[in-house]
Order: sequence, then C-alpha cells, then structure tokens
Amino acid sequence: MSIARYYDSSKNSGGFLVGVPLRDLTQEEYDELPPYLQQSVDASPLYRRTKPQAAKPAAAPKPDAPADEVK
Amino acid sequence: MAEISAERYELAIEATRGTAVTPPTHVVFLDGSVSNHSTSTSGQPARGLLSDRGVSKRVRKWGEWDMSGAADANFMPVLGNMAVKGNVTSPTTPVGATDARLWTFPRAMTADNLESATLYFGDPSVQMWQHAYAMVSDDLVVTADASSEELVQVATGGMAQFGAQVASPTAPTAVTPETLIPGLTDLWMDAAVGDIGDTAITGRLVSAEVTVPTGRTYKYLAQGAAGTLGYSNTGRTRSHPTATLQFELLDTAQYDIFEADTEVAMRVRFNAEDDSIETGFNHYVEFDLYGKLTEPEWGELEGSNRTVTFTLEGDYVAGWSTDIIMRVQNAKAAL
Repeated sequence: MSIARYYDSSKNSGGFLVGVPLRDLTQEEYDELPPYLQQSVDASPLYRRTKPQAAKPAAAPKPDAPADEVK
Repeated sequence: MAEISAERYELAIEATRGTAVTPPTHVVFLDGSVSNHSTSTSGQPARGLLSDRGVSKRVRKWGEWDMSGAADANFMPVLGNMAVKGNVTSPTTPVGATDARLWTFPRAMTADNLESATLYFGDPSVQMWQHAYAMVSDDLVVTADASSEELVQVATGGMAQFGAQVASPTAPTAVTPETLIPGLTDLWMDAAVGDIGDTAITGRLVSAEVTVPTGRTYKYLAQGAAGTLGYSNTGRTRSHPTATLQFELLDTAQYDIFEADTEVAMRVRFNAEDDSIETGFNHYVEFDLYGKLTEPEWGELEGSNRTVTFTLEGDYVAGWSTDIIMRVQNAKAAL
C-alpha cells in the first residue's frame, strides 16, 4: 500500500489533528478522510508528501594538524 | 444527517473584535454548542380578527454559545484571555523549570481588554457555522468536588454575532487536554494578603468553586439600512468574583473566621498529578482572592458528617490592583 502522506515527527511539539493518526498515512487512509481533514493534513507541517530525510550521522572529528616545527 | 459525534467545536482569538478569524486555531475539548437566534416583532394587529399579530419583521439577530466540561490546563489560558484578562500571550518560566510555563491573569480593572473569539460549530458533513465577536458574559466557573468522581469542571458562555454558514475550515492542531483532579486540590487561607499561600488547610476541604464574572453587556445601535441587526459594541458593568468553599466540620476554625468578621487571603489550586509536566512541576489552575467568609450553610457528607459551606466575596486588593488573580501552569509556550 503506497504512502500518501509522511508524518514528520521533527515538526511536532505535542499536537495532533483530531481524527488523523500521528504516523504515515496510506493512500487508502488519506482517501477515507473527509475533505476538510484532507485539506487540514495538507496544510499542516506535521505531514508531507515526500519522505523526510533521515538525520545524517555526525561527521567524525578531523585529527589535529601537527604544529609547525620551529627551526 | 448531522452526527453529534462528528461535530467540530473550534475557535480563534480575534485580533480585532468582530473581525472573523479563519481558520480556527484551537479545538474546544468541552461540551457545548453555538446557536443562532432572532427576534421578530409584530406591528399593528390585524383589525377585526382575533389574531393579535400582524405583519412581523426581524429586529434583532444574535448567537449564543456555551462550554462546559473537564477543565483543561492547556485551554484555560484561552478562557483566561476571554474572561479574566486579555492580551496575555506569553507565559513566564517558573524558577527551576525547563518545560513548565506559568500564565498569570490578574482580572482587568481599568480597561476592557477581554478578548473576543470567532467560533466554529457544526458537523462538517452537513454544515458548519462561523460566529464572530463571541464574548464571555456568563461567569467563568471552575468547580472541584473531591467527594465526587468527576474531574475539575469549567463552565462559561456568552453571546456572539449571528452565525454564517461556511465551508469547513482546515482543522487546527490540537493538544491533548491536561485535566485536573478534585482530590488533589490545595487550599491555603491566611489573614494577610502578604502571607497568601503560607497556611495550608488540609484534611477538611470537600469542594471549592470559583466564579469570575465579566459584567459583559451587549449594545444594539442603529446601523443604517444595510445594518446586520447584530450588536455593535459591548461594555462591562461592575462585578466581583466569589469562591464557595465546603469544609467538613472538624472544628470551628473556619467558622470562627466568619464569626470574627475578619478578612481571608485565600489561594485555591486545582492540580493535576504531581510532576505531570516535569519533576517538581505539575499542571494546575489557581485562584487568589481576598475577602470575608459569608453565608454559612450546613450540609452533609456521605450522610454521616456535617459540613459547612462559606462564600468568600472577593474584595479589591490595592497591592494586586485587582480582585482576583488566576494562574495556569502548563507546558505551552504559546496560546
């Protein structure tokens, strides 16, 4: 079953849309929502049409450059 | 057909009174409804007939709304802006807190700054109505009865402009209600305002109810041929808050205060569970009042014990510049 809208938890500070689960919505689930809730999902920052990018792992720290020798 | 279970009840605080705001910003997790009303007045009665009503015309239009149910510490700041003091849009952070936020509402004394709201009500599969200029005119009442199994209750209501039929607006992001438990209520009573919150009254409070009036009036003015027949302005009359406290009669400590006719600085705090926000901080709604205990009434508890109920009439306190302060602690940084 294809995903119609992806849930972006990074945008959620504790809210929800009444009647809409806080997870990815399948196309079937999205189609079953009443029109005003479809509009609400599309207007909400909690849901998006494309899959959120996974957080990139922190880059490994670079080794310290050797100090210049004093001649 | 319209399903009660599908009804939406939402609102948005208006930036300008009477200018509708769309879409709504808050879900009302309370029982209640909004309805339209009008008055049609008859002119001269039909002559020669037993009917006392001739041709009638609509002379006034308005809406009425009400809300009641379990008090929600996340929603109380919205009601605080509408019923106690307006323009309170940012809380403070209590000392030692990370997530907890404290909203403070000293009742407005010298300015009518209470907020109006645009209300949305109806089953979206049938019809929704939008009512602008909704203002609180029924008292804001918060009640906790430790002898019952109900949560702390809130009730209020008022009037609004005649509602227009609108397409269903986009739904606001809701926040899970944080309800309060009567059995966790704190009460303090002290003689001086400066000592408020020092002396806890324990082991005897059965119930507490705080009533905050707005004194709201609605004014209908001539608007010209294109007028809406709704109210044009609102005003406020004088009023004062009250608290009703029911105690189990363990001794005459509270009765002696009434008999001595002395003032009481009272703080009542309606709590959620301990540490419900973070360690050391829980959701609550609290009221400070100062006045005299009046009108003692005998009651009973569980049919076995005598209770006494007092009404505390809230006096104006010069040091506060108001007669009641409502505070709400939650974890919300914005309304």
